[in-house]
Amino acid sequence: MNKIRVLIVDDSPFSQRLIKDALKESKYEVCGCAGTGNDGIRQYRELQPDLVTMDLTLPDMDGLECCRELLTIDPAGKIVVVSAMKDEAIINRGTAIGVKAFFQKPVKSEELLLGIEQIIVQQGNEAGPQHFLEYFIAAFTKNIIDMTGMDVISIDHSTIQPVVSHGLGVIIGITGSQQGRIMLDVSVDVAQEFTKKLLRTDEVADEDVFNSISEFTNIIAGHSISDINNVLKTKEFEIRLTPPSIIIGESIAIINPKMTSNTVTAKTAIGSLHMNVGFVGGK
Amino acid sequence: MDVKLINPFIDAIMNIMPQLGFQNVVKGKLSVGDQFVESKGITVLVGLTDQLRGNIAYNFTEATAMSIASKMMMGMPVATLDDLAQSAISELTNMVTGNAATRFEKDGLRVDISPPSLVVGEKFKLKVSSAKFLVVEMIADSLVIELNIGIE
Repeated sequence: MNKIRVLIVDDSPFSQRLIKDALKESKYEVCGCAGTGNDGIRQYRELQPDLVTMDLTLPDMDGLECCRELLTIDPAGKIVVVSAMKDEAIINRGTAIGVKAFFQKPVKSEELLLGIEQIIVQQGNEAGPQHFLEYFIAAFTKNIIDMTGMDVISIDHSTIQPVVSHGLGVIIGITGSQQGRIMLDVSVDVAQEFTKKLLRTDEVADEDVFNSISEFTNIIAGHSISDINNVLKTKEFEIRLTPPSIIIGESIAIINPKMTSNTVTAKTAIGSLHMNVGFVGGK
Repeated sequence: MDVKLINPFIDAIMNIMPQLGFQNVVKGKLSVGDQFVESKGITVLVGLTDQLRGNIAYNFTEATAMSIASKMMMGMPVATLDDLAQSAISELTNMVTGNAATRFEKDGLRVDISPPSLVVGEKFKLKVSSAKFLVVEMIADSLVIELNIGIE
């Protein structure tokens, strides 16, 4: 996935540095820094960033004035204000112009990341909730590593439909503001070996395998959805999960009409685990 | 689980099937399932969450699924379970579960349903979320739809 490109407009090199640090090691990339309003406008035209952070006190113009200029160039532009000042008047004026969010300096990196994330997700909904896939991939890899101590050797993507099970699949429905489902799928051998790792034992019964793989899927789904709900924030947009079902058998196709799904395959020392996530349009 | 919880599903089938052109819809056998649902060939899973949590597995033979799909499409011949037929069957289970959810809500139980997942294959079995589940057969013009209802 392409990184989300950010332009920083701020006359303080110190503040530029703080924002850059907040965005590093994430899916954001700072594509430019401008110290004046006019330089910001010039770079905006040239770089066409996905998002702008704007200081309010610029040497050559008022920051909100600069926001208005940028939004004249690109009415769909996403601008957030990062400034020492944050009062009701600024928020009202800024919101009227089209500023998406306001942060007060010194801004905490988590606060900035979460705020920006919320804007990107809201806008991202137009392009479908595929954006959410990242949360599932993060929870998938993290929990393989945390719960088994194994490394994830590689992660691959595929959008091949229909999805054909490798032997054991756990399906959890997704409902609420977004509808879809997550499925974890493994071969019976991998399910057994993976369960041994999860339970740290050499001997596992079928029942252990079903329970462990099912709970593992539940944890991945739960983590992903909690993170997404945190970003979506309002109760109205909340996403919920249904309990897991397990399917067992060879060459079974899992078909969800009206749904596009992505399969993410994680290769580990004991074999591959496949996670398939699909969404239909929102409510 | 409480046997009464299956009534909204039975009512939903009784209500919806005639709208799709079926003349005679009756309730068949009722039993308790343990651990696994053996698929008849096509099983559609729909999840429930909120004040009731669980899964419904709608179980059909391929021939039944095709006959139902054909009826739903105003008698259009269905020779294979193609995209259109899959979509019809999926829509049927969505309508039935949605209708049952509305009935639960009238009784003061909020229920949210997931989109259906169609599972198709030669031989497979499923585990719904609860070890014990209720199995009810519904017969519409001699076509058997088996509902496996597991609600926590």
